[in-house]
Amino acid sequence: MKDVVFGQIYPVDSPVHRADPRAKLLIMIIYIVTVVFVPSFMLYGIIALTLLAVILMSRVPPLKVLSGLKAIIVLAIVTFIFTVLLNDGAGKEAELATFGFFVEFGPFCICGSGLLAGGRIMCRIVLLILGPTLITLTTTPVDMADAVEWLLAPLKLFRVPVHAFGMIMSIALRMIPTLFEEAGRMMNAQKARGACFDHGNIFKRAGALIPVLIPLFVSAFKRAGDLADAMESRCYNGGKGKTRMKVLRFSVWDVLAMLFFAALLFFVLVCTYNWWGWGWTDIFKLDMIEPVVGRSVLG
Amino acid sequence: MQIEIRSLSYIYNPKTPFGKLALDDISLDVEEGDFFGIIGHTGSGKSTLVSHINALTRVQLKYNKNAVLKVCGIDLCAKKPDVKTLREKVGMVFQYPEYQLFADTVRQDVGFGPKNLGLGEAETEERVRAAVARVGLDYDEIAERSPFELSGGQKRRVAIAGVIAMRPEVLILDEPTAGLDPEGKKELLALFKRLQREACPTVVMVSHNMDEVAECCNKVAVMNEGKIAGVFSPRELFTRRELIKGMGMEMPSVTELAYYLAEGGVPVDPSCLTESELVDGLLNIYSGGDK
Repeated sequence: MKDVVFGQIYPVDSPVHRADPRAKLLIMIIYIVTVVFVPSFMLYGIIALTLLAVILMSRVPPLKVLSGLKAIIVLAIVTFIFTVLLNDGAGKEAELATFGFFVEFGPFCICGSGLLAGGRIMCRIVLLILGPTLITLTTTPVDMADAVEWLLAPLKLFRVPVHAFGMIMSIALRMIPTLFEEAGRMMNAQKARGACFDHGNIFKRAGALIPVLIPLFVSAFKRAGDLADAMESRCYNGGKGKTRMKVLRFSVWDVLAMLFFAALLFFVLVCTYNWWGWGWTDIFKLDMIEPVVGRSVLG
Repeated sequence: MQIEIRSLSYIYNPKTPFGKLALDDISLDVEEGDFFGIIGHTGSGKSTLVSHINALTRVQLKYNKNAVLKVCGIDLCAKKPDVKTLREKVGMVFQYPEYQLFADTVRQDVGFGPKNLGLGEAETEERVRAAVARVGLDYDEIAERSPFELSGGQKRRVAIAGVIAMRPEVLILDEPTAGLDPEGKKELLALFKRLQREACPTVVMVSHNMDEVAECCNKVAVMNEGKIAGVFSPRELFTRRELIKGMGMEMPSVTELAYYLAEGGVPVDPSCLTESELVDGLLNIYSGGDK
């Protein structure tokens, strides 16, 4: 339970914390697209350095950001293993010629191309998690929900209840820590009555959670009812004509930051596809060793 | 000695900007037969302290090299304390205990604790019956009903019965009367006093209601910002008006009334603790002479 970093803001004051949440959300989307397109380790390095710079600027301890990886470390390792084992690159001869080794066992094999591909996937997963983790560490959930609502605003034209989504999201995010706390309290109360949550097989453990889950649901429903009453008694009617207490405004720095990340995306795309045939883009793909099929046959 | 605490400290979220010293070098002794009160402002560490007694919060050995925490002879500073036996001996009633009810029937809910102790059907049944009767409810009427359809006060009694059914030696109460009406409070306090006499000799009660403390406890520890500001008898404590007020707490309403009466020139004892004391005092003054 303690590993849940999502929705846990690290409360210090920094330029990253102060940035407009909408800008942060857009940057996060651009960043994710960028990471997905990155073809080479060198470009991953550039992205990682950019991320590191932002982390340092945010004054969140880098270890705290890294701890966001705990949840997906298993996924990343399993992905790596399978990518390596199932990738036979350009075939045995070509691999042997380029990298000098090719280990086969049954349907699996380990080869240079596979290792590189696995490494890239690892980099991709790690960077994909770290970016959003940093955003959640520097943005309050409520700000985030506002930003999402703003981003989805065009859908209002198609009669999508965007405001309702935003409200649902802010309330849900707001309640996550409360429910965790409540769950902790319930567990303590039942532990004090001799309940045991860490013994027995999986069915027993799941069964042991019933005395926690039932009161948790009861209180969640009660809370929801109370909140609805409180909102209605303050004349909330679904957002028509609702004004904001905190009006969001883009600052120059927000715009500059967005432009920077857009430029980074553009740069990565140019390096990857090389639309105009520029020679210098290959510098950033030096580590992309491609076995040449056929060369080893001659040798 | 039922509970022995020596230089116990506790830090919430160590090594983060949320880090907070919740307990700061606490030492306390609770003896058998005590109705021990712990008072203090919100956030003074009361709840953290009592949750140590039940091992719900483990002693942070890293920061507690010299600490001692012994409850019913079980050493909780050991690497692996015998938590199972401990929880059998120490019963804990949480704040708003009615929120932890979960079973289909009152009988099952109260029987949850005894079942966890590994008692048989017959023994469990007998304990449930006794516990429900002890909290002042009619077993035959209530046993097969759902705890969720009871009234607020009844729910709380059922939840308390769930703890008593484990027959603890030490009972810990965390704000047991919070959210009840005055009548309900009175009944519940009477219940705890009776319980202490008949079944469970040692009671520790966390409270910030001074009226309750004045009425029930024989010893009171005052907590302030994670430290023990002192252990007093209620009579001693409530003569220290400055100490209490200085920590942002209230005096018992009876003592407060007596204080202002005395200030205004009425010759009553300003250290009255209970209603009957004050009433007797006033009767003495205003009709005693005439009798």
